Amino acid sequence: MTFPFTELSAAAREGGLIVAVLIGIAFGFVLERAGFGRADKLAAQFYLRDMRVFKVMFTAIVTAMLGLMIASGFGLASLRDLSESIASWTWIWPMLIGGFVLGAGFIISGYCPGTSIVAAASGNIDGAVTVGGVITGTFLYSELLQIPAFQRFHNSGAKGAWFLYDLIKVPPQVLAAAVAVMAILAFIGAEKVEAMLGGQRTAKRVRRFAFATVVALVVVAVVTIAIVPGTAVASQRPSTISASDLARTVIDAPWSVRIIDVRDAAEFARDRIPGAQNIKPESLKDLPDDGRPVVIVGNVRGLPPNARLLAGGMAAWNAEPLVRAMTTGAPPPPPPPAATGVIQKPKKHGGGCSS
Amino acid sequence: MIELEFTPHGALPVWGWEIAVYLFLGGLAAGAMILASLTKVTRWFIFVAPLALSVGMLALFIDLESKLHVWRFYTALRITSPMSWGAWILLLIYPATILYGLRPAETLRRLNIALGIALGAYTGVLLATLTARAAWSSLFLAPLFLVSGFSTAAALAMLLPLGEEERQRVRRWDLIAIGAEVVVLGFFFLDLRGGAALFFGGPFTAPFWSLVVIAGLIVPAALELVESRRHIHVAIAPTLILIGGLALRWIFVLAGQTAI
Amino acid sequence: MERSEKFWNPYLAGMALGLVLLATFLIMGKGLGASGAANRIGVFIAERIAPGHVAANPNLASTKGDRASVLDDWLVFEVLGVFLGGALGAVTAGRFGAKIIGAGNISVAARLMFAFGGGVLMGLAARAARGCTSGQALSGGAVLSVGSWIFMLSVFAGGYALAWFMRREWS
Repeated sequence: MTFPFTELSAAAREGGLIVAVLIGIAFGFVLERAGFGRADKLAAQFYLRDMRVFKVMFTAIVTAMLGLMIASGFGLASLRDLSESIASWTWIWPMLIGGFVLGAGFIISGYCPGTSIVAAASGNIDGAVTVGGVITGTFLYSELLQIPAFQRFHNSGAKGAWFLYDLIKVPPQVLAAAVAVMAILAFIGAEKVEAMLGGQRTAKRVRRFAFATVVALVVVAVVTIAIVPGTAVASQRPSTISASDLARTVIDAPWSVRIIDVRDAAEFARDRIPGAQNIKPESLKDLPDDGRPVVIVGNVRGLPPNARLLAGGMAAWNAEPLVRAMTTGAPPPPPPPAATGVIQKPKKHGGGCSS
Repeated sequence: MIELEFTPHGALPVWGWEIAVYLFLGGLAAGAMILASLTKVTRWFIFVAPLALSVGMLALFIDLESKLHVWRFYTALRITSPMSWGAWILLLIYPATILYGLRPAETLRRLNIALGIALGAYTGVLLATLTARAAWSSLFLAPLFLVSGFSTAAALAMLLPLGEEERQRVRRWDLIAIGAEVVVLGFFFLDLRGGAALFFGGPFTAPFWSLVVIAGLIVPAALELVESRRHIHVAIAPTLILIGGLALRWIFVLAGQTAI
Repeated sequence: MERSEKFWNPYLAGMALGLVLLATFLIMGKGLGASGAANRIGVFIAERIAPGHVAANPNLASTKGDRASVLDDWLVFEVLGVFLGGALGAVTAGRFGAKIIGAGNISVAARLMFAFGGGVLMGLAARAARGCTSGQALSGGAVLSVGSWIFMLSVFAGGYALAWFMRREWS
């Protein structure tokens, strides 16, 4: 089975829940051993005395990030699919302001939600009280959301699934490498700050080991671009449209979409979508833009901007029940029930911590 | 909403948290009786038994539709009915435990151990004789609830202030009980055959393995092992065992009412 | 009662955490989290106390989705594990014990009020940001989501901004 598990069956889901407990145990254990069960160690970060929080967080992020790049580079997982499943969508304003408020809550309570649980598990009463506060806060928010203005704020700045490598148009591996390098520089800076203000220094040997490992991972990640061709391109997946969506558009509003069929003329003559134009692939780039969204049928190397590829091509179109209804005059079938045993499309608001 | 009367033609009533609490406290009482009798130093612990039992029966009683019918159990002893046996065992436990607590004597000690075993097993036998329910159709349920009850009693004992030596002894018993519980669980699932699907892929898989096994058995056992090596004691291991014991009975009560 | 000050080196701890995170990504296709579970626990408690109110507020009622219980979710089970793992870590390091940290310069009551108040702020913030430091910053950050990085940098900004005001608590 290839990664990741998907909710294929009820039994697999139950197994997944048990795996969740085991992963949580590992998570909680490491957090505790990192010293994050104690408010004073966590808060010291914000007085520049002990940059532990920064070091642990960013080392973790860089390790996981590079590991993911390497795994996807070797074909173990699709970076984009996995990333969209893991991360929630981006809403700029709630995340910006929410982050600031969370940081404030962090320094006031001395914990973040996750570490407050670890603290409570260590017998820290302040940690347990913080957990109570977090639960109360999440509940209050549901009440607040009933105010329309608040709801607008909650959904403002919606950008969907947006990744740094979409924003800065470089291959993900290159961006990851840059992030790792910046992290190392930041770590060196943090060490200096700590030495000045906190008086602690991490053992030289350990530091060198950590940095060296990160550099090695970066090299491997970048190398995977070279030896596994097409990864960088593949991660920028062409945007597609499904046959059923296209069929509904063709039925409801055929004028609203421009269908370009790039297959050869003989195939086009045999079998085509109503309203499609037959254009040679080489001429695609010279296509004048008439303002309508474009759907491409057939195989093409590079999609023009704002064009979408018909997923599955003519074969999918012909297999589409709505299409058969159109051609035979039978009533269109009811919408299909939710598919099981198929990789679930990324949840609407993404995965991660979203409730 | 729950009628505890069994009528041959009546449909099985819906059992909820009251039964789970009753079974849990009954197991705790049984375990307390055995623990207090086996390890003489915790002799005063025996008073937990009548106390727990009373609270458990209160929970049950509150829920009875026809409260007045309880007296009917004491007008006869039906040899083949576990409920009938149970009613009489419960009655005997009060004098047995209180007398032993006040004046320890050898015969009383043996009586308490016997009654404790009977009580612990009774809670399991009660469910197991209802063979129409997939999750309850194994007689291993009786030793399972007995061993679990003993473990919860040992856990409760560890929450109370004990001397270091006492604590070590109780802890050792608890570790044995946890080990025994794992073994009995194995036999139970093997004996259950079809019904085991509820716990291996069925809807109770996740709560059973996370709450009862991981949180209720494995993690506390690990903690107790660390405790005994380092001579420290923390409240979290016994608490987890108690929660796990309640979860075990709750999940089984629900599972028994679920079709596969 | 403090017995031990042995903590892992932060870089090594970070790598261990990163590996746990990576395993979660690859095996489950999900990230870690904490605040989502807090939300569900809150709804669960509210359901027991005031079921009508929960049903009336779609933001609360929708948490359950089509599952039998609002607690039937990956994050809740993961948080159970975090609790168990934290206990294991604390006990094995000799750090387990009922205590209050941070009440050195301020009264216990003040410390607990700050703990609760800070927690409430974090609960609100985590809902807005669709995650907390575990879910958004760590998981989302590792997959380079823009929102996660905005969130993460804001968290540090907020913490540093308020640090001066809380200095007595933490000095």
